[in-house]
Amino acid sequence: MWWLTLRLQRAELILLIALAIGITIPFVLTADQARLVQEQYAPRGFTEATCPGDWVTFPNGDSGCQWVPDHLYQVVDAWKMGLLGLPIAVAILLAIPVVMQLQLRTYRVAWTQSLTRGRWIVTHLALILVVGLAVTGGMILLMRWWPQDSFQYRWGPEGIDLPGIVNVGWFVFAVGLVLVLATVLRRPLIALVLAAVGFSVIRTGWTEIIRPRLIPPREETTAATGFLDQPGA
Amino acid sequence: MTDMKRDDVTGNGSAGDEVALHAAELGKRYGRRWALSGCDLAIPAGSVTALVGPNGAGKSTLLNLAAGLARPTAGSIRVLGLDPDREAAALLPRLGFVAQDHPLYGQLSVAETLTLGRKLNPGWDGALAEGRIRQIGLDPEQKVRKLSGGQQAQLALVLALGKRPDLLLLDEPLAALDPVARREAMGVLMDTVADAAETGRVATVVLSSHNVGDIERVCDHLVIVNGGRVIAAGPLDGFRDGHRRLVGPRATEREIAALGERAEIVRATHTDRQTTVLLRGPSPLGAPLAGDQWAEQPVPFEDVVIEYLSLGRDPVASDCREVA
Repeated sequence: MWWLTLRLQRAELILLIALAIGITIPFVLTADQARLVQEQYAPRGFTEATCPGDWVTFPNGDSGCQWVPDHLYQVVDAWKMGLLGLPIAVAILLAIPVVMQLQLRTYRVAWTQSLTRGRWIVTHLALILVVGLAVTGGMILLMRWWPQDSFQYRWGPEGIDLPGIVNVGWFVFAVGLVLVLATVLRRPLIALVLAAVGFSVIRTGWTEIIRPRLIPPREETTAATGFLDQPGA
Repeated sequence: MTDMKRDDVTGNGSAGDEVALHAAELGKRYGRRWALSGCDLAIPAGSVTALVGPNGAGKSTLLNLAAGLARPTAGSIRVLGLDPDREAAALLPRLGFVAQDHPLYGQLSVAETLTLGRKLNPGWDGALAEGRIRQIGLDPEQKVRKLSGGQQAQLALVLALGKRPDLLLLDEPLAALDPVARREAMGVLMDTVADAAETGRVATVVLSSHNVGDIERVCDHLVIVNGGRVIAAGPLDGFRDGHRRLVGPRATEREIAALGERAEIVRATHTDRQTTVLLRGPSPLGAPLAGDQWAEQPVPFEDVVIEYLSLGRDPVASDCREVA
């Protein structure tokens, strides 16, 4: 059954690997720059947010704030958006072969070989979960490896939990959502669109409405120093 | 069909002593509609049995239940002595099934489809499958989605045959084939049963079809389904040779009833001036229908089948007949 499952998932797996590599490359390439920011920045006790908003800089020796390459911020912002959408994207990509089998009723090919329905679904789910957890978990490890201390504030409330294991949980939820909708609706395109919309609504609702009621936001005041020396400040 | 005994179906016993498929009060409901209800059936092992019935009669439902693709709403079904739902792991290696729409994975090539058969079936006969692919003339590298409907049907049949199943369930598998391919495929089915017998196995084929000519040529048993019920079942010879048609002037109900005491009336139809009676059994001509005005005619097999199918439209006459 593994042979069939891998063969049916082949295109999606290749796409997923390409996606993972595509996400990883910018971070590998920018890791040194980010480390430089962190090394020169953190020891002085500054937070990056102490530099003026549009005038994005970091302290460098006695010369005050220096420009941080804009692309680092673009990378971090893109990463945040990508990680927020990663669980549902991976879930949809990996669930497509199962969803299409339900739609075209080709699961009957497997079900009438010497293979029980239980083994069929367990093998498919195992592959989806193992690959999905590897990708979402791998992204968390990548995030922890990348020197991101100086950029954490950019996660904002919606992404504050991204470096933790929470994205893995969101992925498992997304897989369940996709498969339930596909099984009930039996219309793959509608099911996948509804899953994407539903996931976004639920995740946003959780972040914006439910979580603040469960865990009150933490308030912290930091002295603004350093950037005042900046020319023009 | 009620109180059916195995001997009623096996007829002269040539088909073997075992029952390959046994259904008791079997029913399947989809929503509010019963696709199959009160189905009692016993298909002898070693037979080539045809399921005949109009579209929506319940043939596919019966085959899906037998293949374990659906669960009964009522009653029970046993296939090769096993419950298709609870004992699927033991049954599936012995069962071949080709659904009406012969589903296949379109993204696989022909060769990969055979690999699928080999990987998923412990008893896979690769030589048989590959030989059949060569015989059909399929390119092993061709994607399944690019095959014609007939070629896909043939490939689905190869996938089922490669398992060397003890029971082959075919749901209108030949409808998409041209006449030559259909004749050839029918030959393959007969070879399957014969080859199994040579190796000491018992292979049974159950196929649904609308083609009465094919059925008469290949099958030795017949099950007629209509309106979700089994209308008649028995050896094909009993249908082909055991019926006659009487045509004469309009008969009264009393005359028909008297006739029914001496032969089993399958169906009687009337016009203003004429009565036509299809009956089973030896010629009953004599009083009260005696006379030059009545003529006895042989009935072609196809007409017999159609007459039985017509019973399904008449709720009064829709009880199952056992045709010995």
